Amino acid sequence: MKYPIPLIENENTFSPYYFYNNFIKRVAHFYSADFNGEVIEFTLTLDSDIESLAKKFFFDPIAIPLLLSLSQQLKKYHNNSPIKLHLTNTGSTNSLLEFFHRADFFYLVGDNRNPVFPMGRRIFDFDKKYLGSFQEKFIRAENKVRCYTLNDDDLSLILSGIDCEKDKRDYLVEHFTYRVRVHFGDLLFDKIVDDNLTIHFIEILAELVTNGVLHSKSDTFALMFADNYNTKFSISDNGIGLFNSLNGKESNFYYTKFEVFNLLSKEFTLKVSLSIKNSILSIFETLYYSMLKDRKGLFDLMCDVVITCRGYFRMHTDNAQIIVSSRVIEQLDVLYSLRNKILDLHNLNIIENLQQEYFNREIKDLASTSKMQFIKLANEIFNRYSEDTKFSSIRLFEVKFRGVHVEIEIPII
Amino acid sequence: MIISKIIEDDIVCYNLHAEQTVTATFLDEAGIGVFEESLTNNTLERVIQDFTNHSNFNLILDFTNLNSCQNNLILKITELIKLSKILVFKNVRKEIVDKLGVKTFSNVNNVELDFEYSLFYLSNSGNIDIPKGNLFNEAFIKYLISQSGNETGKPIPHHSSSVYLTKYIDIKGMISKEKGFFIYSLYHLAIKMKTHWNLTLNNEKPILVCQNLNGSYISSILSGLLKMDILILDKLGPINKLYSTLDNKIEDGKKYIVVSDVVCLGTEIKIAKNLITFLGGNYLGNVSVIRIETLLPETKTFDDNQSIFRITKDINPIDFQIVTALNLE
Repeated sequence: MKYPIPLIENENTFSPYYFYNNFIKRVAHFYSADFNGEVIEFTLTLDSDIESLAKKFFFDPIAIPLLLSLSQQLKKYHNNSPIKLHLTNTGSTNSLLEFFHRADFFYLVGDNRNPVFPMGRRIFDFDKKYLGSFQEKFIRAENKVRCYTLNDDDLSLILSGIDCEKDKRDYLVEHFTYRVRVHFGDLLFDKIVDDNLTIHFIEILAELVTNGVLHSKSDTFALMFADNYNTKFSISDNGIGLFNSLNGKESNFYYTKFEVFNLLSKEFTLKVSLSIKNSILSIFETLYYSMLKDRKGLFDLMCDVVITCRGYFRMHTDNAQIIVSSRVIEQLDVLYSLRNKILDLHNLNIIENLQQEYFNREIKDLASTSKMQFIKLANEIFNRYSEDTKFSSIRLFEVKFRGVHVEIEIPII
Repeated sequence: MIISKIIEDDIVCYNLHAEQTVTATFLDEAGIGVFEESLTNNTLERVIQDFTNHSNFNLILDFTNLNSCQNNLILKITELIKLSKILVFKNVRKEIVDKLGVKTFSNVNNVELDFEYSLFYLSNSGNIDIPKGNLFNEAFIKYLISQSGNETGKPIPHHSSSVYLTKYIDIKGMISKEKGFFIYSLYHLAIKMKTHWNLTLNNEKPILVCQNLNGSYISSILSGLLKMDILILDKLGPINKLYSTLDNKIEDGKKYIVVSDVVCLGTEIKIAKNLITFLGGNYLGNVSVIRIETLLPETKTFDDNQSIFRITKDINPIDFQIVTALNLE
């Protein structure tokens, strides 16, 4: 029997950074080192640590969706049996347990059937007797983890009655606009004074949740957290990921599937494994594909976060993460202006039914310029890649973490 | 259900915020009623479905109170352009025009202000004779005239005040005959209440107090539109009813707004106000479908009242009169 893997070790804060760089490696190690089919187990902190009584443990709320997404993948791997989570309730872990409890974490990962709280997804098997004796510390009620899925609110049934994919998406965006506002509205209205920014933020969140449930076709976990400086939102799904999603797309006269991917692949000089390379290139291909579309999507959302709201946009898939912020604002501004021209052209074509020849020529020109600009941006990012995340816009990981995981951070002005 | 459609000659007008409010209140439990500020796909779909019956009419979409819209609605807008003779947006913010993807239209008849267009034509040429005045008010007056009368021709004793009325306003008829338009009227009342008492989505709001069947219906709609709680104070009613027990319905320090159908002399309102105040509640005012202003402005300001329509000495389209035995002929 192997030892359970602690979520928190040596007083390290469990943050998204810690998750990708440390925790997930230990999980991978479990399966690579003498793996004999044993089911993985987790523990809250190191059990053997006798000094733990004097320690303080911190868990970054926006890392919760990542933990849930990973754990759900592990559960599926182990024939859908919940993963054992060992708890302890000591002077030092009590506040950590309370934090999880108040975020509705235990309702969501357990077997809760009370509709007042999130429905239990049976992700973890834990002993409820450890939950209690809380200090009633004030933790914002809105900082709760949420799970969105097409199985809720008869969404699957409703969507099966809608033929067009675009209409399905519009339906979901509207549906989640209402849900997101109920779930995170108080936090947003409290923190953000500007009403227009609040509306904007809700639209961004609804788009993200829709992307999650529609593409992943599985549970999507989300959490919003706000401090005095930033509002952070984290969303994680364990679906097919960007590469496979792109594989299902069709080429057309102005978009050739995997063209940016292949062009970048030829010039790619970083010495990394094929899966890492494919992950990072599929992120760029996805953003390029989204940029050419006749409907607003992921690219517009990213520009909204970075250009309009001056925030951070981080997207992880499989083995790579891209961090888009004001660091690349100059290049992004150019791309955004091209994107607006593309969208205007599409809109004009819809409204005025432009001559096919004219439309084809114009859109091809814009697509070609965008492609070159995208490749330029990607190469600059690759050239500036370094281990130090302060200077690099990409992070590359040896261990694959399936699905798409987005974090956005918007400063409170 | 469409609530805000008003037809004037060959022009059909929809108030999109009112329709969005319906989407957000009755079609989705998580909606926020009149606090909704963003136009969504479902609302436009309902308008398209309804307008299909009026194809080749001119169409005015009023965007008043809307600050944003869902992405990717351009196909819906083009559908409306095709269905209508000329499509015009009224009071639309420039961001919305931009977001809808229709800013390419340029018409000399557009009326542009700093942040919005009073009129924005979705065609490069053409003009329609935009109806002047307040369309809703005019429609409401017609509705009121059709729902008020007095078959006997003799003044009717008032059920809770010691006076006679020359006309009977059939609120139940209004509710039953044109359900949609009545809800639209209550939408207007909700907007007035929101502005007058500065109601916001997240702050603690007053409680609606209703006292009869019509009041309960009105309160239930207002409660959905404004996300307010309701208290049914059914001890009131005919003037001679005894108050057996008052129990603990009114909470100390909470704010209350009394809801009525028609406020004539305000007798019931005064009774409700006294009860609320006596039990420690804070009476904010009253709302009604119709308010009869029986006193001149210099005598009473009516500041604590909001109503859909006020009958005054000068504005009295149904010739409503209050008489007593002293001057009854």
